[in-house]
Amino acid sequence: MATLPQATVTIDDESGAQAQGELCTVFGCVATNDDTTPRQYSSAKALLDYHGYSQGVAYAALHIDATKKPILFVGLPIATVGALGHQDSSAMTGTSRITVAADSDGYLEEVDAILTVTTGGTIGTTGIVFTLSMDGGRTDKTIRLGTATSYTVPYLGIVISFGSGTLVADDVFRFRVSAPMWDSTGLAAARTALAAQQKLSRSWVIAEEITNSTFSGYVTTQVNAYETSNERFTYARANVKDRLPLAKMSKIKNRMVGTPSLTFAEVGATGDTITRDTGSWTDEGFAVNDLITVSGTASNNFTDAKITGVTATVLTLDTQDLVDETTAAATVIGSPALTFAEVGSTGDTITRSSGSFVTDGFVAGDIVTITGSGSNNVTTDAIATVSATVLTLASTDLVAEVIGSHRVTIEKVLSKSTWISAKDTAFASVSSQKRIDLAVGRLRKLCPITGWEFRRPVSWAASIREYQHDLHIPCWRKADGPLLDWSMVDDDGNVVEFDERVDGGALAGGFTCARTWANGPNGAFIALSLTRGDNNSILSRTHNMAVANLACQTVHSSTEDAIGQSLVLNDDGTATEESLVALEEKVNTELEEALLKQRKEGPRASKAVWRASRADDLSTVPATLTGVLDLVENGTLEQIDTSVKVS
Amino acid sequence: MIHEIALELQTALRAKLCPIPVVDREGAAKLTSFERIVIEHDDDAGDSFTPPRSAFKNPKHDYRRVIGAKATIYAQSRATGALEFEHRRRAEKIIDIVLGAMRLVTATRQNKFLPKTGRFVLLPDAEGTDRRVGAAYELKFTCDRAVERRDWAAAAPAEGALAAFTRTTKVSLQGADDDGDPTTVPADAETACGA
Repeated sequence: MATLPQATVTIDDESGAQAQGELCTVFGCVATNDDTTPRQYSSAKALLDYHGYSQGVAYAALHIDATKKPILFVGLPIATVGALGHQDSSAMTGTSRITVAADSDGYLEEVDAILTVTTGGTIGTTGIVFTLSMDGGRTDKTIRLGTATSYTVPYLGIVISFGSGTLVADDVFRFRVSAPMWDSTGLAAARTALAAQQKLSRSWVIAEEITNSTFSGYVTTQVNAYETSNERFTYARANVKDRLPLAKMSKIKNRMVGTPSLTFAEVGATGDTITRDTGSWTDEGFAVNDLITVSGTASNNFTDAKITGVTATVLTLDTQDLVDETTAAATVIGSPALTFAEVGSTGDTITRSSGSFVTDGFVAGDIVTITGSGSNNVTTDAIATVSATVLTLASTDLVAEVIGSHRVTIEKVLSKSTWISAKDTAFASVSSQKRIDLAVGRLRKLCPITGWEFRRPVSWAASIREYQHDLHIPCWRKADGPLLDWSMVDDDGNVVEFDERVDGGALAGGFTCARTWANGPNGAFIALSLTRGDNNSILSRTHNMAVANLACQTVHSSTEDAIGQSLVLNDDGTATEESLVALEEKVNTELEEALLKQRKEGPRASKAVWRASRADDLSTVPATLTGVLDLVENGTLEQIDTSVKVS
Repeated sequence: MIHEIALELQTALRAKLCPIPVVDREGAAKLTSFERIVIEHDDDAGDSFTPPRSAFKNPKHDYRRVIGAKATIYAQSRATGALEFEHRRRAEKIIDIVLGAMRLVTATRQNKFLPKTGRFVLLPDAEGTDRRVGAAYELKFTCDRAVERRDWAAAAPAEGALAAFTRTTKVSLQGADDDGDPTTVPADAETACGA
């Protein structure tokens, strides 16, 4: 299959030599070489060659390019594969049935795809051209299909197949795919592997978004165990699953391909048939329980007749009463049936004959709107329960109706304020956890590997910004300017992503988030980077946690060097002052070098003094010495209140 | 220490095939031979004290004691009717060997050996006569040793081998010391790691 000649982008960024403590560990699902073995990469190309594409690899590419620093990558096994979700072919007028499937690696990225036919034609005949967007229309690429019947989207694991028939100019097909996800087993194995090697990192970046507090619990379990079991000190950045895309019922419309001769036969009260002389109903997607609409006949035009039987050549209908007729002028369109049922004062249901509300993204508690039905349009109502084929509404009194689902739009509505309030509640249990930074929201960023401008987690932007500076510098320092090429706005310049300044609620919920500034400069900034430590504690600020971790690690390694040393004891078994002072001097010299030295961006802390206990009895076996590090962090301006005196 | 140095000097000289016995003051009285090397404290010069040469952990060195001592070499030429110069010539041969041996002995003992002065002295029984039956050379030197901090049983202070640490990092922001003691952590400091 020929594609439009284009320039390819080869990621050949090279990072500089690794400075101590400047390594970022990236955890992400991969389809290739998912051995949870940490490997250091200075080149995104090398990482892509080894693991193939994934969200983690995409983050790493951005990180290396922006910071010129290497990363430690841990490829996690895929525990939950990416899945095809919402599809919408209702706007298609051509007869080619478009299907989407995963390739051998599975779906590897979350996409919001739009395929728009620009030059129509018959599948298998050269000349068809379409534009394809994987990022909700933000960017698109022109694809010449040639004589091919499928197109594999590079890197993403998506294969788009075109059934026989026609594509018509301006037809639009939409679909969504979710990204794969790891599980607690993979994460635990990764942490064990990380502990077995010697490279230390400032932070972990969890590439995939986490859906609930259970998953954040997996992360905190491992990052805390990294301290308690492995004596290493770090924190993890993760992002809460975004509000968008909102769940929407798939709308699949099937069309009879070509102009076969159709024979309509009146059989009885039920079971009337439509037989075709060429082609196949099953190949074209018609299925039992679908509703079909026929037009273009002399005597058999009807709307939403239920199919009770399907073979390649024969459709059997339920109660639709046909008249004997043979014609090659008919148009047949079908789609899964949507049945609205009045059950009682509450609990009315909407049942679909195929497809899945769960796959489409609906969950109990969602507020939905319904439009396009004959008698059951709903402004808003809550979903009481949801299964693959049944939505049960909380309060709306439905009217019995059966309609082709391609006519009806059921979609979730969720305002930013409602969403952030729900996230606050959902993650409220993640408290007093200073080793995890949870972010909300997304920003648009061009992926250097795929060329799409995906909506990426705010945690990615925060992490990249923090590694562009020393670890004591907050990633929300305004003087550093907006996040380079990270966007909150749509093509018209309207802010569409979560903006803490406008929408609010994220910081109150303890989330790292993005913002704009009322008086500029234009662009996206990180509002604050917060750990889930106690509210407004020193260690609730991620940059303070970074400094504290370095302090902990320095004390740990320098005191470890003293293991086995003998200290001179007083008569009571305590160490002599001279012995302790000598030990303290060694530790404090290391601390001074790591934290107090004047660096390009200033010292990392104001004071760091380790003191050994004078009261420990070291004449016992084993002799344990207690020490406390008194770490005074740099203060950071967050609020400036100005009074203007007018006279 | 001087007694032990004398014994070790004896051993060293024997290794160089030097037949002259090395004795201390009491031992000299029991000798029947003229030729001898007498090692003894220099009571006139006494001792001096300096700071420790290097830092030792245990036992701790408080000072170095520089001990004044002297070696008197008695030599007698084997020639019949030897004159004074012949006796002195023999003495100088012994002096050279003694100086070399002392350097090695004290280096092994890690005591610093420093020759101070040397002179020929009049034999007590040659006073009033011009007949010399031998020559005596007095070599004054110092030899130092560490003054270690030990108890009466010469035991150094006990030691404890560190097996483990309990580490805590407390984090605070710069502010007024809550208890006025800069060596303690503020009461409201947060715990970053440890207990």
